[in-house]
Amino acid sequence: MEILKEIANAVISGDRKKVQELVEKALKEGITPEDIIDKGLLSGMSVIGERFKKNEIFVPEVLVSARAMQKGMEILKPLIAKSSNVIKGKIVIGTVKGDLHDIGKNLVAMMLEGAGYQIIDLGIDVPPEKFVQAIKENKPDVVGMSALLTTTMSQMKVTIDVIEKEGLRDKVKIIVGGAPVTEEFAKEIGADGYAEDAYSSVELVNRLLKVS
Amino acid sequence: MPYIRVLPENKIIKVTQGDRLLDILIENNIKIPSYCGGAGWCKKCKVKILDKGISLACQTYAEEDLTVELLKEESTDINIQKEFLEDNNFILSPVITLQAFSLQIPSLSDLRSDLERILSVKENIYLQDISVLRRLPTFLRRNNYKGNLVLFKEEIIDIREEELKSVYGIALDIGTTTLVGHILDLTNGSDIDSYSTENPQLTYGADIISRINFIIHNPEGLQILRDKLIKAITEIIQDLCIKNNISLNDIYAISIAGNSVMTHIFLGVTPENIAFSPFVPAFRNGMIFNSKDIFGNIFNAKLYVFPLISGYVGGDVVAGIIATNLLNEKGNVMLIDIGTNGEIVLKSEDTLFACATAAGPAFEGSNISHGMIAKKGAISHVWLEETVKFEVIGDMEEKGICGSGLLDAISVMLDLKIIDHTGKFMKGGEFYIGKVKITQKDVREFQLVKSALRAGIEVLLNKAGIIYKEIDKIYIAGSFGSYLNRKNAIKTGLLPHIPLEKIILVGNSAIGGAKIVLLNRFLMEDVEKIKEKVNYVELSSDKKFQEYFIKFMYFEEEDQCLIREEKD
Repeated sequence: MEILKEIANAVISGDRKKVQELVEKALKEGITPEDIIDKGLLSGMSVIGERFKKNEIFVPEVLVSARAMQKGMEILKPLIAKSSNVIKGKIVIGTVKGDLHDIGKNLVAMMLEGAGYQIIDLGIDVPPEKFVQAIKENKPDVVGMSALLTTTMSQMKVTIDVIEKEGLRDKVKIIVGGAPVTEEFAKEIGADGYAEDAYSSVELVNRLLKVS
Repeated sequence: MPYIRVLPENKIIKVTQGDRLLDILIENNIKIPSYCGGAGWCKKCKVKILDKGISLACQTYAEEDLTVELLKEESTDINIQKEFLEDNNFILSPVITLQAFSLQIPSLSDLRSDLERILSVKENIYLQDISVLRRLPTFLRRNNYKGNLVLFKEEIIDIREEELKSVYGIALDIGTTTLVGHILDLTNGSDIDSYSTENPQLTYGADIISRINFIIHNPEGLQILRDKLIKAITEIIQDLCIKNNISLNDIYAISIAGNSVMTHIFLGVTPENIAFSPFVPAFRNGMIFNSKDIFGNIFNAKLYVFPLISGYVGGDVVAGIIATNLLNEKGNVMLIDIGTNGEIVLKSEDTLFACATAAGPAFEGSNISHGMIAKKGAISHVWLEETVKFEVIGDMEEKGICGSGLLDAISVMLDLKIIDHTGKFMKGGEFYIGKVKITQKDVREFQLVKSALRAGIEVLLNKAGIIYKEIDKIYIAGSFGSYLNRKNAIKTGLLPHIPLEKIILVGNSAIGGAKIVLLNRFLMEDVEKIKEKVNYVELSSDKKFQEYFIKFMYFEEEDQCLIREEKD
C-alpha cells in the first residue's frame, strides 16, 4: 500500500507533521492500526537504524525520526486491541546508579520502540531497588542497563545480584551496553547479552526473545 | 671544534661537534624557555640562526660554527602574567619575605628572652614551628644576634644566616597528562626556569575516571598513584634547583594547582566519590600545609593547595580565574580550559558560572583512530593551499594527529566537501593527511566532543541570561588552547560566532595563577572567595544541555543564535 510507504518515508525524513497527517489519513482509509505501526512507522524506523549503524546518519537524525515515529504511536496506541501482537515484548530500561548519561540509553530505547517493543524507561541514576520494583510491577521480558563510565559499570553487577537475590533473575533477560561495556564484561557479570550500538540492541533482543 | 656566537650578548662558546644547541645554551646559563624538556613540541626554544632562519634549539645540533640570536619570549603563559602585572597595578608582595635583624645582645639591663627579642623585629610576627624555637638560642649566639627571619606572611618559618639574599618558590600545575613546575625568585618576582614532564600515572589510564577505577579496585591503589606523583614532583623541584644552582633549603613556598582528582591524590585523600553521582569531592577548601608532611624532610616550605569548585572543576581552573583576572573583568567574559576535560567558566556581571565536559576523547586523541597528544610526530596544523598542507611537531614524519590538527582537518574536509554539514563523508569513508587516515568514526567522535563543549558554553550563557553576541571576551587556556586555530574553531561550531579578536589564547593559565599567588599574598586570600562565588552547573543532569548537545552536533552554516531565555 502506497500510503504506508509514505508514512515510512515521513519517519525517515523526520517529518512529524506529515506522519501525523498520513496516519490519520490511513486510518480513514480503513487500514488497521497494527498495519500502520508495523508496515509504516516501524519499517521507516528500521531503515534509520540500519543507516545509523552504517554511520550514514548521526544522532540528531535518529532523534528527529524517533520523534516523528512517536507522534504516530501516540495516535495509534489507544486504538490497538489488547490482544494485538504488534507489541513484541516489554522492556524495562535505565542508566545505572551513579551515572547520569541519558542520550545513549534513549537511543537504545527509541530503536527498540521503533522495532515494536514497549519501553518502560526508568531514566538515569537508577538504583538496583528501582529496577527490582519495575520488574515486579511491569513483568517485562527484558531489562536493559546502560553505563557510560568505567566506574559506574560495576553497578551493573550489583544490580544483577540484587535482582537475583529477589528471586527475579530467571523471569527476565538482562542486557547491558554503553561505551566502556564489552562482550566479556557482560558475560563476566552474568548478563544475557551485550550490544555494541543502539541498532544492534534490536537484533540482540529479537534473538533473546526469539522474535523475527 | 665549532664555536657558537650568541646574540645579543655576543657571547662566544666553544662546543663539541654534534652537541645539541638547547643543551649548550642551558649549560652556559643562557636563558631559554623549554617546557617540553627538549621533546620538540612546545616550540618555546625558537632561536634565529644567522643565514639559516628560525629553528628550535632542541632540534639544532652544532655541526659547524653558528651565530645564534635569542628571540624575545613568546610564551603566552608568561604574557598573561605580564599583562596581569601591568593591568592591575600588581604589587609584588610575595608570600615569603626575608626580614634581616640585628638584635641587642642580652645584658643584665636587658633580660628579654631570645624569642621576645626575635618577635620585636617586626610587628605582628609569631612563631609556631617548634624546630625553629629549638634552634633559636644557639643560632643567635653563634651569629652574634644577626641574621634573617624567613616569614610566611606573619609566621616565622625559619631563621637563617645574615648572608642569605634570595628565597624561592615553586609553582606547580598537576594535570592528568602533564606536570609543570616553575621556580620563582620570591625576592624580586622573577620567573627563573620551568620544567615539564608527563604525569607518571599515565600508565594507569589517560583519564581521571580510569585512575579512580584503579584506586577503587586496588587496596594500595591510592598509595601507588600518590607515590608516583610525589616522586615525579620531587624530581621536578630537585631538577629546577640543580639546574639553576639553588639550594633546596632556600625553597620556602610551593603552590599547587591541580584538577580535583589530582589534588585529592596528591594529598592522599580518596577521590573515588567524584566518579559517581552526585560527584561530591572530599574537600573544596584551599589549604596550607608544611611540605614536610607531604615531601618529607628534603626541604622546609609552606605548601599552598588551591581550592576546588567541584569534583570536575578544580584548582587548575581556580588558578586560571586568577591568572586571567576574571574577577575584575568587565562585561561577559569566558575562560575555557581545554585539556583532558574541558572546563568552562563564565563571568557575567558579578556572577560566575562553571561547568565541565569531556574533551580528551577527541582533542587528546584517545578515541581517534590515529589520535595522539601534542607531541613529536603529531600533525598539529592542517590547511589548504593548492593542495592539503600540514605541519608536524618536531619536523618529522607524521605519526598521528593531535587536537588542533584534527580541528583543522575537519575544517579542510568541510571546505573540500569531503564531508557534508551533517559530518557524513560525501563519498568514500577515509581522508588522508599525509599518511594519517581520518575515518567517518573519527569525524563522529569530533562532533560529539565539540557539541558537548559548545553545549556547555550555551548552557552557561543561558544561565546568565545572555546570548553569544554579548560575549566580550573568551580566554582559551590549556595545551590545546595554545595551538587552536580560532577561525576553524568557529567554523566547526566549537566556539560561537564572535569576532576573532575577542578570542584570546592564553596558554597554561593554571601555572599562571599558581605563580601569581606566590607573588601576591593578598591574592592568596582572594582565591578562597572564588569557590563561593562560582555557581557550578552539573551538565549531565541539565535538560538544556541535552537539547543543545543535539543541536550543535552538525556543522551548520547558518547563524546559530539561540533565543534569549528567562533566567531560572
